[in-house]
This record gives sequence, C-alpha cells and structure tokens, in this order.
Amino acid sequence: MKLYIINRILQLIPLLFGITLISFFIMHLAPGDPTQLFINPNVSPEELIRIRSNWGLDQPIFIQYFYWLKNAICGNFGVAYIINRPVMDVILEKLPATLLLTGTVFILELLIAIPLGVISAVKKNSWFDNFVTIFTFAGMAIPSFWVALILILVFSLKLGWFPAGGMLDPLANDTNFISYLINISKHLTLPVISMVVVGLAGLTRYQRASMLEIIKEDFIRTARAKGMPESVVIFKHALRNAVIPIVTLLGLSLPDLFSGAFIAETIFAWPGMGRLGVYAVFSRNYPLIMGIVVISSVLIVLGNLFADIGYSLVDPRIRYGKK
Amino acid sequence: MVKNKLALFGCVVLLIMILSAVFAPILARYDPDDLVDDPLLAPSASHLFGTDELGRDMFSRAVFGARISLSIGVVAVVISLTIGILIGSVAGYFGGFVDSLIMRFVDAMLAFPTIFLILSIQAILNPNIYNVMIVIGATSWMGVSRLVRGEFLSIKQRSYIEAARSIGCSNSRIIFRHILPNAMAPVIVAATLGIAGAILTESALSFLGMGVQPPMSSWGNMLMDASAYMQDAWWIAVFPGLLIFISVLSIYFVGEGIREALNPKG
Amino acid sequence: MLQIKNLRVEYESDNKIITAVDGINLTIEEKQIVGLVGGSGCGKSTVALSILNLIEKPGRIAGGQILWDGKDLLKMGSDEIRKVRGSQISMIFQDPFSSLNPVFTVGDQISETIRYHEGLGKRSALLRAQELLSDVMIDNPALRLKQYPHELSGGMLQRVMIAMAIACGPKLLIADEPTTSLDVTVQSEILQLMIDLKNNLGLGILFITHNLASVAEICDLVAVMKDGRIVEQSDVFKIFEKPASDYTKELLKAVPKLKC
Repeated sequence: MKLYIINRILQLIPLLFGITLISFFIMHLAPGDPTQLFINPNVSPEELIRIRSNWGLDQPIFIQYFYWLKNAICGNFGVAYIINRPVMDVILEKLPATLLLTGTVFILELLIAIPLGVISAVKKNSWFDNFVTIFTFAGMAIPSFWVALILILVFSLKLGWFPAGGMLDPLANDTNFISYLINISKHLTLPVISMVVVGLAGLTRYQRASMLEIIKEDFIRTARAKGMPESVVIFKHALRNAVIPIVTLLGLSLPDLFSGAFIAETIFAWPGMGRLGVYAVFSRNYPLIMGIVVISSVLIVLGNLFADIGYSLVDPRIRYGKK
Repeated sequence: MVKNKLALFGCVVLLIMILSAVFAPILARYDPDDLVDDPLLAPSASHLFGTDELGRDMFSRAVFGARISLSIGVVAVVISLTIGILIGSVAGYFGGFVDSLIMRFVDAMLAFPTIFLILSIQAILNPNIYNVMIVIGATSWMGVSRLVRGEFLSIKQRSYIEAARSIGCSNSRIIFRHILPNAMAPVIVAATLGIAGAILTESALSFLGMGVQPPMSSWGNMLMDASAYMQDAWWIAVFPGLLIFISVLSIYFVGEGIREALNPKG
Repeated sequence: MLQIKNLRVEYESDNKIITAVDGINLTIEEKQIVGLVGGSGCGKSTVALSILNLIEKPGRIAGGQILWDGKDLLKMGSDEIRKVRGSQISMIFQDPFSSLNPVFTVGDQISETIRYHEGLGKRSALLRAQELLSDVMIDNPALRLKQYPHELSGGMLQRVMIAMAIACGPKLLIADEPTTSLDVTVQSEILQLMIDLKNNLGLGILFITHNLASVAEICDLVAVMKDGRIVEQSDVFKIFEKPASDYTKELLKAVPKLKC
C-alpha cells in the first residue's frame, strides 16, 4: 500500500505542473500590461521596477512562467485590484465558508446516496426502485441554479421558513455557540439542498449499479450456501464490496462539487471563495481570478489524492497487495 | 419495456422542442424583443407564459430561446467531439510516452472546476454567443477523449489491425478507416449526454451573465433577474427553468434508448 | 441419507421454457462418494444447486423431491433450509478465487459459519478455524487466518473452502467441479484430501465433474448425465469396465490413457 500512495503522490507533480501551465496560459490571454496582473496599477516607479524583476516581466514568457510558479508555490499570487490586498490573504479568508458548504453537501450526499442506491438495487424494479430512478434522472436534468431559485421562492419568500441568503443573520444576538450553530444551519439549508439534489443523482445511480454487479458475484452464492441469513448476505457481504468504487467516484465528483458551490454561493450570497470568484470575474480582477483558479484546482487534486488513499485503505486487495 | 417508453417520450418531447425552435417565428405571437404589454402580467390566453419585467412576451422569448439554447448545445458538442476524438485517438493509437503525456494533460484539464474555468475565460474574451459555444466545447472534450482512447487501446490489439498494417496502410489511414468506425458506439451515447450537459452549462453561464447576452434570449438569461421579481411573478422563475429541465430530461431518455439499442443483448 | 426423486428444474429464456434437469433420481448413502459426470450444460451443476435450494431466477425447481433424512428439502421454509446449509449439508464451488469474499479475511469467513450455526464467540470460533485449516493441510494456519483471499494460491483457497464447508460437521459435502480450475498436481492433492475426509469424518460427498479420471480416483458410485437425464448409474468399477450406455462409452473414449 505504501508503494501505491507514493506512486499517487508522484503522479501529482506533473499534474500540478499541468494545472499551473494551463492557468498561466489562460491568464496571458488577458489584455494589458502584464504588470497589471500582479499589482494595483497606480503604484510608484520604484515599485514597478521591483515588481518587474520579482515576476520576471522583462524576460521571455517561458521564464515568466517559472517566476510565477516560484511565487505561486510560496503562496504569492500577487495583489488583487481595488481591494489592494494580497490575493492569497483574501482567498484564505473566504475559503472556510466554502469548505463548510461543500463539506456539508459532500457528507449529506454520501449518507443518502449509499443507502438509496443499495436498497434500490436489492429491491430492483420495485416501486421504491422506480421512484429512485425517476428521482435520479430528474436530479441530473435539473439546473442547480433553478432549484435554488425555486427553493428561495417557495421556502423563503412565500413560506418564510428559511433566509434567502447570507451566512449569518446580521441582527441576531448570538450569545452562545448553540444559537450560532442554529443561525448558520438555517442559512446553510437552502444552498445545501440545491446542491445535494443534483449531486445525489449520479452517486445514487452509480451505487445502485455497483451493488447490482456485486450481488451477482460467486461469493454471494457461497455466503448463502453457508446458511447465512439474507440480511447478512446483503448488508455484510455485498455492501462491503459495493461501497469500494464509490470512494473513487467521490474524488471524481469534486470538480462538479466546486462548480456547484460557485453557483450556489452567488445565488445565496454565501460569503465563500465561490462568490469571491464570481465577483472577481465580473470585475475583471485578474490576479484574484488566477489565484482562485489555481487554488480550487489544487484542492480538487488533493481531494482526489485523499480519495485514492481512502480507496487503498478500504480495499484489502490494494492495502495488502500480492505477496 | 419501460426504458423504451421513456425513450419514445423523450423523442417526442425533443421533437416538439426542435420544431418549436425551427418554427419560432411562426409560433411566437410577438417579437421577443418588443415591449408588447404591461410588465409582469400573469400567464393568460394572450401571453401563455406571462410577460417579463420589461413587458416582453415570455412565450415568444422562450421559443426563440429554444433556438439559442439548443443550437449552442449542438455546436458545443460538435466542437468537443472533434477535439476529444482527435486527442483520444492519437493517445490510444500511439500509446507509450505520447499517451502518458496526453493523459496527464487531460487529467489537468479535469482538475479545474469547469464553470469557473469557463467564467474566467469569458472574463477575458467578452462574452457573446459564439465564444460561449467554443469555450464550452473547449472545456468538455475530456470525457470523450478518454472514451475514444480506451476503445483504441482495445481495438488496436485485434488481428484485423495487424492485417491492415502488414499490407502497408499508413497510420492515419488505419486510424480513420479501420479503428475509428468501430469505436463510435460509446461516442454516440456520450454525444447525446454531451448536448444535455452543454445546455445545462450554457444556461448556468447565461444565468450568471457571462453567456448569451441580452437582449438575445436564452433560457438561462431569462432567469437572470428572476430572483428580483419572482415573489410577485412566479412565472418568470418557473417557465424558463422548466423548459431547460424538460429538454435535458428528454435528451437523457433518448440517450438511454440509444445506449440500449447499441448494446447487444446480454 | 440423501434421496433425489424425480427432480425437474426449468428456466425461462426469451419467453421459452427450457428444462435443464428432467426427472433425476439419485441416492447418496452415508460415507459414500457419488460422482455425477457429464459434459458442459448437461445439468449437473443445476442438480447440485437444487439440493440446497440455491437456484435463482430465471430458473426454478419445477417438481420432484429431495429427501434428507426423510424430510423434503424443497418444501422447507427459508429459516429451516438455512439451518441445513453449511451445517448439515455443505457446498464448495469451482473457482475458489471468486467464491470467497475478497474483503474479509480467511479466518473471518470460516469462523462466520461456526459462529452462526454453533453460537461460538469470536475467539473460540477463530481457534476452531485455525484447527480446521491444519486439518485440511494448510501450512502456517495462524498466519493464514489473517490473510485475505487474494494472498493465497488456488490450491490453498480450495482447501480454505473445504475447511469452511466442514466447519460445522456436515454429513454431506456437495463439491461442484472443485478441481477443474486448479493445476494438475494440486488437483490430486485435493482429491486425496476428500478421500481422507470421507474416511476420517465419515463425510458423504456428491462429486460433480466432467473429468472421468478424477471420478476413477475417488468415487464409489457414478451417475452419468446427459441433457438433463441420468443415462447410466452404477458403481465405479462397472462404469469403467462394462459401460452400458453409448454416451458413457463416448466419454470413456475421451479419457487419455497412459500406457506403461
């Protein structure tokens, strides 16, 4: 297993190179003086010279990439326009809110998709299964931003059960942690639902397919031949095998998870990295845009790494490889 | 079987959508950009979907929007297929170092949160309907390339390829005349799913304001300001989204039908 | 001990009903090794699966009785038959790699049977499993207990399956092509193991195979199957020396003979 993990980590490096290269390339499609990509344009001539040398702006573009990479590795993505603060600081400030949102969605999706998929596989073609199938098709077809709008319309504007946006009620008097939690949860509910409805669909279908495959395996027949009750056969023997591929799928769902977060944060005014990103896009705040592009892809790559490590822990064939 | 009925249903709905788009000028009672009535009128006989916040007929906008959304979907997928098939066949055919290099690049592209990547690119180029198609196409080819590569890797082992090579066929000839036609089945299914995905992506982009620009109407940008008015005018939020949902759903049903049809039984 | 009377098994394919087993009569006495031979598709595995009522859709048992100590197995409810499976009658299958659960240890899978049927606790069940592993001639049983199926060879895995099958002291072992996917050298070891089990544990065995040579090695009685029916049935010597049916003669011709 250690070999597997080291292998995976080594594969990360060219991947990160690729990401930074592509981001750099995109960034240089932007019009204007490259200096502007890194600082507030209204700056003293001495600053300008320092910046030119720090970012290698008087060098050929190839070298510029390495200057930029060197800075990026140290967490220096330049200074955002207008806000006039280092990009990294701004991002780090907003990141926790995004992690809270995506983390909650992620966990909920896991907790719901696995039982849903398993039960529909076991009760194949029952009314439950058909209902779940319709639900998954619908979930894949529905635009998440539309779900968000409808949720706001019904539950916020018409019924008033949940707030329409923001992370905390500015007027609330949060004297203790519990009320603070409740406050955040109320604000978290609608955005989470809008993202989960869409994300759940693919995971559930996949889990169902995986379970259906496993149930046909020989070792399931052996378990029955040993006299094991059906519940043990399904929920011990089959389930333990069927959840393994989900781990990989979870890793693969990260880019869509983040994309969904960007949209949900914008609609619900959730103060996270996604909303920051959309604001950056509209204000053509290139240093900020680039920083967010790189940080989010690095997070996704790391997430995939954790998924792979998780996979190696959960599948004994990888964990205790052939001797 | 149930699947067949759904596929049929999907075909029918899709046909209705396509025909509506094609015959939009006839179906639409009003010019979609004209202010024809009071704003925020509820759905009625004269305005099937009501009027929007400026007083334009929503049904007419929706029907013309179908043109935009559907054609963007198709063009974007054509672009992504072209890129994906090209890259996938080169990687799968040549294998080895070329394959590894290309697949690293594919992995890197897959690591970006797609919507944000597109948004960033759109921020640099000024968004209009043409670059929306191109950018969506340029960021969604990765799945197809993997598929094609996989097919190539398995097909090129087969004996008829050996035979072709032994009689002196050039590489490109082998790729295009011998391997590619056999690799097409999963690609067709992927193409249908791709159109659905492209429609969803375009609608999200237009909704955020970085896609199709008003006054041109796409289902996505019709929802752009919906949140401000929907409390008093629910039709502004409901109809465009419903149309997106129904078209994408029908495409999925048709895609499932095609997948069942192309797979031999068993 | 086991009496199969007029067993019929059908399955549905493309809206047609195909009879896989058409009126089989077979008896297995105590401490007897009965061979069931035939080519592929003759229905022998289906007979084996029917005994423990393991036939799945689209197949179904259409008629007949399978009497075990007088009671009809085919009429038992699910709770009753589960008590028989693994404890009174056990079954082992052809491919040990795919017949064992890849995510649980060998020790886990063997002790599972013991814990379920005999109510033993985890520790004692594992100890018993270890004894069983040495009974079936596996080296270093303490280590093997903690290993996963993919870490063992085919021969070892089949021994594990046998250990799992005899764990609760069954009187009958159904072995469906147990040596077919193993190396030739390992095959004879497993066959020898089965003879030892019969002698030491008083185990009766229903040995299903398409390989007449292995039948000759261990069986007392032989039944030959073709197209869902038994075409000939008698003791092993008679089958080889004076085969009655033409089909048996065909099968015998296919066995390579070693000339000394």
